[in-house]
Amino acid sequence: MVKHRRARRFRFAVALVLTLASTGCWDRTELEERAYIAAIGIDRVQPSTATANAKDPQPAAAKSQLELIQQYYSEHGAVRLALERMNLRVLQAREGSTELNLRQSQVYASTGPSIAATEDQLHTLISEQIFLGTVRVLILGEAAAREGLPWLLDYLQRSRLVRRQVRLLIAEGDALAVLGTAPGPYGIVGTHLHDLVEQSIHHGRAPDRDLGDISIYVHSKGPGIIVPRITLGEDIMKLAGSAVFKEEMFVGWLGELETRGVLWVLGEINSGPTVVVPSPTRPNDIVTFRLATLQSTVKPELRGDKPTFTVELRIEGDVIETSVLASLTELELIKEIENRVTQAVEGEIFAALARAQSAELQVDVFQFGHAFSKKFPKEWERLQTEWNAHFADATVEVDVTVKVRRTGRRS
Amino acid sequence: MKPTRGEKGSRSQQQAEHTGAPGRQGRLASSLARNLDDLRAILDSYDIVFREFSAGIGSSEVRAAVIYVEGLTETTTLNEQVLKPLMVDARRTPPEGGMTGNRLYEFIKGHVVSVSDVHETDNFDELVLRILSGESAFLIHGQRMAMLLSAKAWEMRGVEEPETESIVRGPRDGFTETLRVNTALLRRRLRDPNLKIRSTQIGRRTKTDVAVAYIQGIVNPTLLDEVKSRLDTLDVDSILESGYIEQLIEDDWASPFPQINSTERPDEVTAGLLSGQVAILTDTSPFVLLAPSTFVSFMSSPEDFYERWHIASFIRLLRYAGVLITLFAPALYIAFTSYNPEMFPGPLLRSAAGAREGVPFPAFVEALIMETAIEVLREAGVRLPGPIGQTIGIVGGLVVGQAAVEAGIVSPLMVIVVAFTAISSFAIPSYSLAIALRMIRFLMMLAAALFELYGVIMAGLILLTHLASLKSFGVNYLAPLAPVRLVDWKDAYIRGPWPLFKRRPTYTHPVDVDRMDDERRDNQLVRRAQRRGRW
Repeated sequence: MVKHRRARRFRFAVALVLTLASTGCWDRTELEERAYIAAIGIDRVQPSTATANAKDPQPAAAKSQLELIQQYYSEHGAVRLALERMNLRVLQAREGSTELNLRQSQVYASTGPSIAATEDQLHTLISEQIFLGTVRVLILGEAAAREGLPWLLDYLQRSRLVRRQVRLLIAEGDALAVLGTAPGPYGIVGTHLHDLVEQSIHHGRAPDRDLGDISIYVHSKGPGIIVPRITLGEDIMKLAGSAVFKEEMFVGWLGELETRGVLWVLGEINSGPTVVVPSPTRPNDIVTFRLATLQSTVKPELRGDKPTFTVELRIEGDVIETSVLASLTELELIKEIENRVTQAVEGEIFAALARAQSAELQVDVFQFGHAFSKKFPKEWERLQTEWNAHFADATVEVDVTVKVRRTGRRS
Repeated sequence: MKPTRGEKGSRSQQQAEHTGAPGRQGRLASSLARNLDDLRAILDSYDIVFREFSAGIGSSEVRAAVIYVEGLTETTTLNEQVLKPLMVDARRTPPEGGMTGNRLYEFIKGHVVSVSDVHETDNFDELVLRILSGESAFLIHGQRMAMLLSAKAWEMRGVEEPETESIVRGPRDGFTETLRVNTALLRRRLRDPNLKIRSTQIGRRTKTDVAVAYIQGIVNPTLLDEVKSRLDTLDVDSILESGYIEQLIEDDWASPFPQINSTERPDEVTAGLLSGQVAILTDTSPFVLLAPSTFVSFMSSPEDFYERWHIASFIRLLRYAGVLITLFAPALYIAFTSYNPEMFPGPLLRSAAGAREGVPFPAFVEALIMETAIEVLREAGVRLPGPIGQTIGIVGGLVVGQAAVEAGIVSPLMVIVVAFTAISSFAIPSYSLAIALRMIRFLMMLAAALFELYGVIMAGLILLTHLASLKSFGVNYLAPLAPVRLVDWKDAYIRGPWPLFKRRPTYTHPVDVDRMDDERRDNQLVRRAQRRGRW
């Protein structure tokens, strides 16, 4: 009896194990069965091209729904989603392989009512499963940027594949055009742009923003943020300047040096950027200073009812280029260079500040509000809602200290 | 050790019936001829020598016989110390007065047979057993007693360096197949009268000598009793290797994990005895068992204590990394490749996907093929004679692996994973633990193939649960990691510096806990040394 039961139990266990094999189609997708996307470009376009979808015969009952979608189209325009897909075979090809002559990436684009719906439609063009885990950059067209950030983030934050480190860029014009441009010696636009953005901390002419920064910004209801701008030239793309978002909306552009002016205050510049000042020794001559370290502190104050800010910058760096063989070992000369660099940096900051406070923008891209909220939490409660207006009125003092540490020597 | 339990006695009675000994309750007769007849009836085998002769003491002559197993006895001793004195010398220089019966026997024992280890018996079964163990029996007509001369000598392997547990620094001697040599190796290291070695015989037919060694005053008496009682309950016909004993007395036969450590190294056994373990030595096997054993003890090597503690700790951590790699590397490869590519860092994913381009199998099949191949290679390498084994390893590992990649059957990344897994498993000092982990690795792969990353995590948790529930002689297998005993963590993932080893490990519950002098004096010494700036 016991033996019998044991045998039955054993048979049951075997049957249980065998069921595992009979499931057959596991939901596995092997690595090579996926389409690896390096960059996403999102544009808003006129619905004329997008209505093809809506023209399909629809059941009568859905008619009213169709009208609603048409209405949405006419208000917002259609989404044009462009994906840059990497050709791994070419990327992994060995020396001498014929595949080396093939293109390293291919751009697919389609239009639809929403991002997810368009991604779905793209499966009609791409034979493998679209995989967004490899995306390096997200490029927003200017028109799409005007739709605001929450619309965009919703889909990307729901996705478990899109990483927080994906860099956000705003294209002057169309994102699709950026993806269609040859990126230089390395064939993938996504990788190239990603590296460009990472590099920006060393020149300060564009900020570095990833999706993590953006979602923190949106969820903390920040008053303003700058996002790097990508512009197209003849067969070349340039990362410089920035797009200004006021609360969640795109409101305008900042130029290269204006962007640098903001980044000085934000302290988001590392070694590298250069400042050119007139030479103290000779007229008609210049000296180039290169920043090594930057420390930035924003000190908020309340003068009466008015927020006031003092920005303290500690800059250290070297003189790396002069046009004459002048000895720069004298203390007075060094002091004079320091003064001139101070003036130059202050000038950049004030220029950026003037732009940000102007009636056109009125955006606190310097994150003064953040510093203020930490020091005056109660007042912040009151001023928060209209912060950008208060920022526009705020007095800002800039206190830059420059130290020239090395003047160099020619050998 | 004489059999202590009643059951033993009844077994030897069974033996008596079995051997068909005469109905004298297994006692010797006084007639030599009758004794010899009885012995011949039982020991009628080619390798047993019966030598009858006349021992002459002066004028009196008496029939005597020597019985021994050819090849197990040193015949020179027998010839020089027994036969020659009795047959030649005694006749030339006879003692005064004639002697018969008991007096003659006592005279021979006391004055003629110059062999150090002499044992007497009148028990027929014992006589037979001792002859078969290599002692020489000496019988005289008219005596109901037999003298057993221990002149054992047989061909044996010398003390050599253990091949399965080679180390860089440390003693090179290893146990042999002879129990006496092994006990001597222990005694040479422990000149402590409290080192006790008790022996018993296990195996109805093999009668294998099994010795239990422990240090009285350190070993916990409860543990010792448990080991002894488990050994006593053994009732098998044979013990051919200590592996028999290990598997028959372990706590959980269903687990793939070894629960009793086995080693060929006398220094490891000595260290074990000093930390309160009990050693079980088996004749005919160079592998000595150490009980109780924990997972941590399988992960440590005696060399850990010979090298400086930083290095030893680093190497130990490497071994633990080896365990994780052995268990999880192929499973994670499958899970990442087939289900969760987002777990790869970006650039690695590109390489991995590019490498898999054109591979005809799903990752699981690919991994299964390669892992099976490497296990077959490993097994073949063990079986084949030395130099050929290495050649096969190179041919199999390099040539086949390279060819498989070139042919596009497996991806290069898979080969790396498989090779790294195999190498990692050999970083584990215990062969039995390593082989268990290598087997479980296949289950992990199956879990990954069926249930993705989630399956790997679940399988890992099940494994951990199993390990945590295992016991070795009542000691938790994962001690001191689970349950947590922080005082023993000095000798777990890392090997702490010597000043930490003032107490013996707690998991063996030793009686004498102190390894070093009392703490106060020690602390003073340390402080003074630190003040002076050196230890």
